[in-house]
Amino acid sequence: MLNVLITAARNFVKNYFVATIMIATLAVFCLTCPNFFSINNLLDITKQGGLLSLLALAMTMVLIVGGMDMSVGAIYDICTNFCAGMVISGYGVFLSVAVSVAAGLGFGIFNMVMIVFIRVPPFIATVGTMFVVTGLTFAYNKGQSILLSNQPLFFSLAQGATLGIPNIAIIVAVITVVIYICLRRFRYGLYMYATGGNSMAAKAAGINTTLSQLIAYGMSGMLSGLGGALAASYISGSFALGSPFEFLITAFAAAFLGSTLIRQGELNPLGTVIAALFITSLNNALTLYGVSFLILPGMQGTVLILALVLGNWGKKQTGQMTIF
Amino acid sequence: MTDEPVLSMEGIVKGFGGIVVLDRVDFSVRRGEVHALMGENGAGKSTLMKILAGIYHKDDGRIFVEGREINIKSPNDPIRAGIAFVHQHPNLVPMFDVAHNIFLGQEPLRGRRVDHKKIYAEAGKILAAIGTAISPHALARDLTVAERQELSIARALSFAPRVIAFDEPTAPLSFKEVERLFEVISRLTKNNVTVIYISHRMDEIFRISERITVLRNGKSITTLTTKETTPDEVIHAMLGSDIAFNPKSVYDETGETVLKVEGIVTKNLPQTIDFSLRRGEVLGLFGLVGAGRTEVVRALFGVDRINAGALEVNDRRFGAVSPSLMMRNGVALVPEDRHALGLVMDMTIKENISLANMNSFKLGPFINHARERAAVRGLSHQLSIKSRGINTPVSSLSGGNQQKVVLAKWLHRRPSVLILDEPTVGVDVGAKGEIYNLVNSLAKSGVSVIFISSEPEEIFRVADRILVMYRRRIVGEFQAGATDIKKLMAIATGVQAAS
Repeated sequence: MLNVLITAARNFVKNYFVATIMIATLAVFCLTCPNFFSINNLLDITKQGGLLSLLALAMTMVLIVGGMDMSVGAIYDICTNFCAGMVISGYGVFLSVAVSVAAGLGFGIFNMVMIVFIRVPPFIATVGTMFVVTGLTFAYNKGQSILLSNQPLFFSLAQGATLGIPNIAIIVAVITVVIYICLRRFRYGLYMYATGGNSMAAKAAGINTTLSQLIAYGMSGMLSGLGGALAASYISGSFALGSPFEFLITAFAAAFLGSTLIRQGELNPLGTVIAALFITSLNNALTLYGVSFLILPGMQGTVLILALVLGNWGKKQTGQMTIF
Repeated sequence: MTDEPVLSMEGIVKGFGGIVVLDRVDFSVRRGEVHALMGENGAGKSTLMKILAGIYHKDDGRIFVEGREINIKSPNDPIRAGIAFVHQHPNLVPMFDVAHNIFLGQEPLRGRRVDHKKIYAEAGKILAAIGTAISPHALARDLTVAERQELSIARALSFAPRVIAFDEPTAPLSFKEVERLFEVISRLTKNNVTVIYISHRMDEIFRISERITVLRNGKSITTLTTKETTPDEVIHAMLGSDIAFNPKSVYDETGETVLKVEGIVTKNLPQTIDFSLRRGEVLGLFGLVGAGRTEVVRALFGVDRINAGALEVNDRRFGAVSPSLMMRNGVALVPEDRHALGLVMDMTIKENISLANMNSFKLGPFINHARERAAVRGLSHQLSIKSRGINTPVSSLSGGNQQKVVLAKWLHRRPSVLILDEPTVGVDVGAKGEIYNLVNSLAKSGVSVIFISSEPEEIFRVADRILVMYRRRIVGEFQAGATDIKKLMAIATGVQAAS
């Protein structure tokens, strides 16, 4: 009996090496950091992790088609400002969120026009977008942060809970499941993976690879926009100067770390969300330990590099790693 | 078999930027036949097939399937008309499994959802039908070259096609795998499927085809019935003339030994390998894919560590070697995979040649372009590389001319020992002849050549002496003319031990 358990455990570690490390890390946090495992803290992690999840899902979509979106953080940022601005001007919750998502889609379309139709390399194109969008953010908020108050309905989106479950967790869960089903169950899901895996093969099979890319960049923009809108709800407003780079690097780390969770090393929305929650826990625990926030960028870079190293290590052929 | 054509292409015209590549080509195939399409590289075979596949669009001409004209605009159109393709380098999605690669782009649906269960079930049936052992669940990236090809045949079959076009299918396959492929082809034709077969290997064409259509310079020259023709007639049709092989010059058997391999053992060569090479000698290293030929080269170049034994190059003895050490000592290697190892495809002929020889063109910290141009022109002339000039990108050259560029790169260093690993793979008949002649004239000028090949005909044509490998051992040694193809094949396949 014990032998069977040991073999099972050994196989688990072998097949789910990264997951094992994650579980071990979280166990250490639970044991050494009394506040980590408190209900309030866990709810907080879920909320913050939910926001990061949306951004990481946006990144995952474009990485799946073999693309790249450096502008997700900046789009997230400007949509936080748009949403907060519209709510404070009294446009109502629904319209504000809808416009933010639409704005995100607009930037996504801008990216895809450059990448798919003008054939600018995705990396350069979206770095350009990142700066353009950051510039637009400053033009919009004129260097002022927005502080919302007395918006119970809007705040409830990211701060509230239904039946004890944070609303944002419900939103992210629904979106993740929908994306997961679309990618696995519908033809265009498979075609997006095929486009990223070998676009020549996909084209030869009669697949419209342009359409797969359009879907990916469009989804990426919308998810970033939605993430931004919910961020405005979570922080009750918007910061004058967001941190598009930090959001970007964390989203990257989550997408790649998520891909290492399964053996084939394929990018997948479930893995991305789990990794996003893990990275949020990591940041959270470090803060609880009293570590200075100054090391956070270094920390996030390390996680990203580790995720890439683990990803390459686990794969014989670096199918989706060769995007740079 | 009826005489009614199942597919016919009539008066196909295609030009690229003012250059006519196909000039009113006619090509038609009958139900259930194996129809070979032959021609030198650049004759227009690939262009014709790409038009059929919907990758290029024809400028003029008509295509009929079973008498009905079809309009091919995208890769989906031939599929709908029952025409499938097995390409030389199968285009697969590496992260997808076998089943999903087979059904890529035509996944069975249940409602609007992809029916994964059916994909695996149907894939299993098709794979069983071609008699392969690969699992529908295996990832494409884990397959061997031969398995990838079987996958691409399975994919072609999934369309239940009337016509399947194979483009150089046997190039990457071993002897046994070729036999398997031929079995599959004969099973197909028995079920009334027509096979279009493109290959440079004359023996295969004569073994499996019923008719042969020859293209030359974008024109359809003739269609021959295989039983009523000879390889010479086909070659004549392909070239418009007969190839003149320079007679083999007999090398000086008393010449000094330039390379001596004494009992070397590596992790890939468990048993000792011994041989030597004289000045101006062409040593043929014959064996089937996997016999250990490449491993010998790897050992000579120090890619695999030598665990025992030693090498002697020009009277200098080495126990351990490295590629750069061998190059400094006058040994040059032209690898088999010229795309991956030999050429930067987007760079020009000149750049590719000078890249490996920068030292000889330097002028202080700069490049001496005049000397570079002169050297490249000289080599280009010596090897008769056919191009619009030395500033042509190598990607636009034919396979044979690309191979010549790789050769030129190494010849510039004036090596004393030149190792050629399968130099004529994917090269057309005319360019093959030129490569043989070149090897001959190099040998005459005192260069010693190790010529690795799995084609007995060419080994006989170029080599002074032949070593046969089987299961990572040298199992036979012959002087040229002291053996025949049958015996060579028997030894190389382990059927017969060398006497």
